[in-house]
Amino acid sequence: MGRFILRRLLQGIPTLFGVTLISFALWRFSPGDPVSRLVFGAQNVTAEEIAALRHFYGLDQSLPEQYLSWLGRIAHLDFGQSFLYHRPVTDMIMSALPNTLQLALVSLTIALVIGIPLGVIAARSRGSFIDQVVRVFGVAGHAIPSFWFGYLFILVFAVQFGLFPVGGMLTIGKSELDVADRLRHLVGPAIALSLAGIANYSRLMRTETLDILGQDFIRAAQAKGLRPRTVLYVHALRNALLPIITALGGLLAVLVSGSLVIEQVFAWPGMGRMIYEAAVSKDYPIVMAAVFISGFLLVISYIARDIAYGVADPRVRR
Amino acid sequence: MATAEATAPAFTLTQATNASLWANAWYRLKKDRLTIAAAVMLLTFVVLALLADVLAQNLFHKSYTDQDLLNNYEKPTLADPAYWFGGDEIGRSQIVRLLYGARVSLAVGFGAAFINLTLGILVGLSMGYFRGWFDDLMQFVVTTLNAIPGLYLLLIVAVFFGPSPVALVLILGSLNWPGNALYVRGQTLSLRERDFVTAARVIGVNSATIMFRHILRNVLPLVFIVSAIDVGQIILTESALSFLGLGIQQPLPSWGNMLTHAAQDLSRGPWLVWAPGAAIFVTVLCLYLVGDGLRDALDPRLKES
Repeated sequence: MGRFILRRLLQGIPTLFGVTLISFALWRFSPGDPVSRLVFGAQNVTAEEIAALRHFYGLDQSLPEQYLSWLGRIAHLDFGQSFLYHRPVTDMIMSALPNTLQLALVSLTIALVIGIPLGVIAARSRGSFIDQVVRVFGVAGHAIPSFWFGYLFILVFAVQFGLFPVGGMLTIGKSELDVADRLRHLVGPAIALSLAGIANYSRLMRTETLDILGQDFIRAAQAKGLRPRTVLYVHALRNALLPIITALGGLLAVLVSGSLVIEQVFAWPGMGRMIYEAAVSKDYPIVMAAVFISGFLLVISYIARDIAYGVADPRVRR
Repeated sequence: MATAEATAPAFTLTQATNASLWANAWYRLKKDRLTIAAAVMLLTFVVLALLADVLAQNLFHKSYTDQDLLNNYEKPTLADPAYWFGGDEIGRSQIVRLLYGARVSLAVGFGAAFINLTLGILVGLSMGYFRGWFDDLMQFVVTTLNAIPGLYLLLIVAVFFGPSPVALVLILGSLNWPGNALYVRGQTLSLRERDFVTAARVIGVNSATIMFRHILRNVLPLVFIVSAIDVGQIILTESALSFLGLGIQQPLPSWGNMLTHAAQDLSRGPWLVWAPGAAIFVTVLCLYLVGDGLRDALDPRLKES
């Protein structure tokens, strides 16, 4: 087991290296020189000052040198300063990242808690009305544009009935620690973001459960006279849950991507909103840092997924 | 998908032996009413999109840019065909803009899917057939791309190249191929070990012919299925990018950018929110249903139940 974990960790290194290459390329090969963008519109900038700025940002070095010195800096968690806000990027990310993770984890939980039982129920009463509903939802949940669902939610529950706030994370003036207020703000974005996950898990669970129910060890369990409930929930469910672990890692990527749009709809102050604003205003230090950090987290989550799978299913450890 | 089980009769042996793959598939597809309904719906959308000019001139008497600033936020009404779906914040006809939006969304969806399937097939075939260093290198590229949230990358690249429909198709087409490539790779890996490939190699057929004639032919039906779902995903992504203001730009309507404005005056024109989103939803749903139906028809063994 130890060797399996070690090997999987080592496999993550080239991917992380690739992520740093892409983040760096996004910054260096973007059109326009960063310094000319910085002094754009400013009057009385002399050539010496531009040269000094280029030197300050390290732009007078060769590309490999720039890449290595950037690597050195991010190893110390120094992502430089935002062009727009002149604040350390690390601080800005540290205030936005927890909000995105909070939203993603709540959505993931909703997707698991609703999706898995739906799939099992559909498989148990195969061909029934419930089964048909779950199957249709399994397709529809993927097809619905989440941002549109978000607006419908706002239109109906916030504008029409006033049950939930229109957006944001907190009501202005309320305490940061007002849990009820935070939860009310979380409901809309979390539901909108979890639709695809619910669809995904219910569909996966249904297929897997049906697949497992057709296998010999289930017949053996039934033959020795176990109650159908025991067979389904103890024997079948344990095995059907395995592929859910695999789907978890990929879903986190989907959630982080999806939250970009949802954060925009619900004015949620997370990474998605930050990277959107940074990309539009060409604030590259933030863009690079956000790409690198989200990439880093996803690589970690893929590794964690594989290790979890290895724990659950000894066959994959090899 | 749902009604398939109830209506499809047991598959008889005579059909399996006498008819071709496609004839068999068509036989099964005909019985699958949900898939047929979805396909008919899609065709209707395509025809409506193609007829956008004719309909706008003769039925609605408005172009997608015609404004009517004195009568903005016109409520949906049956009296005037142009306002069947209401008017927007500068008095443009919502239904005409939806029609042209269908054109844009479908063109972007199919165009980008074509590019990314071509890339996916070429890369996947080469990975699976040649294996070795090329396979390792591409695996590295795919894993790395997968490690970055897709929309982040699309967003940044879209900002680089500036908004234009052609750039959008190229971007969406060239960043979405990894999934397809891995899929084709897997199929190729197993096909290349089959006897007919060995036989071809023994009689001296060159690699390119084996790849493109012998293997591709067997992969293509499967890729065909993936493509319907691919188009749906691209339409969803395009609508999200356009919604964020980085895809199709006003005054050219796309279902995504129609929602950008609608969202800003939720309470003044709620009808502006319903229609474009529903159009995206129904189109993508139909594409997914057709993809599912085709998969079941082409390979009943893959059928979910």
